[in-house]
Amino acid sequence: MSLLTLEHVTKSFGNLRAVHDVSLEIPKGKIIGLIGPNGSGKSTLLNVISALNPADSGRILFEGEEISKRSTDEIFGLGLVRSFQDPSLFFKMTVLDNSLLPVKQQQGEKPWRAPFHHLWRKQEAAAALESSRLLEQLLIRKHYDALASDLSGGQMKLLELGRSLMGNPKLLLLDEPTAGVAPKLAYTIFENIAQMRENLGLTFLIVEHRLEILFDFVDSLYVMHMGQVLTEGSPAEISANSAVREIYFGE
Amino acid sequence: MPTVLLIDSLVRSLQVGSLYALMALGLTLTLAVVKLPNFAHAELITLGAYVALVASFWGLNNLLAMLVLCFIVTAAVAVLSYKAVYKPLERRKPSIYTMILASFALGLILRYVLFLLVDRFDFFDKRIKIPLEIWYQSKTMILTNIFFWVVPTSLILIILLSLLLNYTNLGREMRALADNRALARVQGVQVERVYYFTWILAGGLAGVAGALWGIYTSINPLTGWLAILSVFAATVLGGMTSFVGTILGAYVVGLSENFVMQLLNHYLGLDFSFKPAIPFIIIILVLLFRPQGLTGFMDGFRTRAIRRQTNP
Repeated sequence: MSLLTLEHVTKSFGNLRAVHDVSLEIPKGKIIGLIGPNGSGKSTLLNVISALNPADSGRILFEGEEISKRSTDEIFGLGLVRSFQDPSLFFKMTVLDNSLLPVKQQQGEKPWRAPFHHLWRKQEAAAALESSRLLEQLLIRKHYDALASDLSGGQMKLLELGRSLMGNPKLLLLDEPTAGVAPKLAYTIFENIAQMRENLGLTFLIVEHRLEILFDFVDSLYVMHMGQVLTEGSPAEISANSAVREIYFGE
Repeated sequence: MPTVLLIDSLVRSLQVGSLYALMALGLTLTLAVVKLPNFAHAELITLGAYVALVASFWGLNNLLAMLVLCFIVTAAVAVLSYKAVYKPLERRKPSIYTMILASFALGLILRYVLFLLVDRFDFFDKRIKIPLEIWYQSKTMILTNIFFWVVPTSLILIILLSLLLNYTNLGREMRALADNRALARVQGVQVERVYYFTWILAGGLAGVAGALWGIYTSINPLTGWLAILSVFAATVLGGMTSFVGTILGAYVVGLSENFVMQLLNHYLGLDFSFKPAIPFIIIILVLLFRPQGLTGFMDGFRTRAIRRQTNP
């Protein structure tokens, strides 16, 4: 069954058609890659899905429900979480605070409850415990009281991954989860992703330029070119596709 | 320099610094969370002072009740101004300059409405009717009940606000919005709700500060406008968006305007009429030599309560 469905989605900025008539399906429990040359509209597509730049036309269905008119925080609430290409953390906040922010239904977020610590202490402690376990798994537990700006580039990426999980997601849209990361750590990040799919049944849509790693982990791929979906298929099919080879490697 | 003058100027620095801190925290809150340098903040201060004044003329002489009343009224006006002016503007994705001009305009409108009302009911340069009592007296120092109201009230409110910002989920959301708004939105922060709460806090604190200011000195419709320059100096000194920096900045400005001014007057013969220039000098010096303000060595919020629970 398809978790996320896009039907004829279009997004223009002025005269530029960043995303043009894109239709795709993300089945539940799969890791799907989204590749294409720079400027082919991959990040814009993620922005459209997460409603940062709402679509001009077309339908977006999440679990069979139309979400193209929903606001960004509502979409997050449905379990659709995205990450960004550049390290996007709250740099003036600690690692722990960063990971706790996306926790849903926090009692202490309501102004009339926030001053009363005992009303939300239990929930907060449980979330902190959960976060601590997760950070342990991602090998950044010992930094959890450091400011996010003090982490290394790779640790930032790991924290982003961990933070995405704290919001109890169903589908993660990851924009270059290994950008600016050493090859070995990049592999670790993908291993973590595969493990999360295995253990938590999560679904992933991953934009990535490191095809050699990506091809090892994805179930299938969509290739975008000039704002449109060029083709889709398994890693083997895609690497054999001559049109893809042409736009990617100029062969 | 005579000790009496020295101590007197220090006491005034503390008093004025605390009030500046209250005012500047509201300004920093809107600047950091809503991303709006709200010049109409000045009028919220004036409004708070006048609400207290009118209440005292009507026979309300419980200071605490008066402060609560001021908080409610100015918070309501702040929320209204967001709903009526800033929020509709924000939908058009304006530049920061548009927002600054809009806040200027709103400030002007509020100020001259106040002028009209004050003129009609003859409330120029009045003091809030609180009987002056001397609570502490020594050879060098006289402390009145006003001092014991202004300083502790400000300090308590500052501490409460810091606790809220640093130790609650709501405060975490506010800090997250201050840090990176787009990211906060995709992480599920309900931006509108946090904005409204921020306006309530910023407006309410401005009102309370205005009321305390009106107890300390006489007020007119320009009170807030004259204070806002020092308040902006405190915010700039604090690095624009740092809450701890703002509090420190407020006391530095208070000290410069009173204690340092007293020293300059005594040793260099500088006239007290130069006092209003001090905030400008501070703003220019900070922007020239340390644009990040006092932050940097004061940065970093820690969630200590949680660390204890998770790190045995």
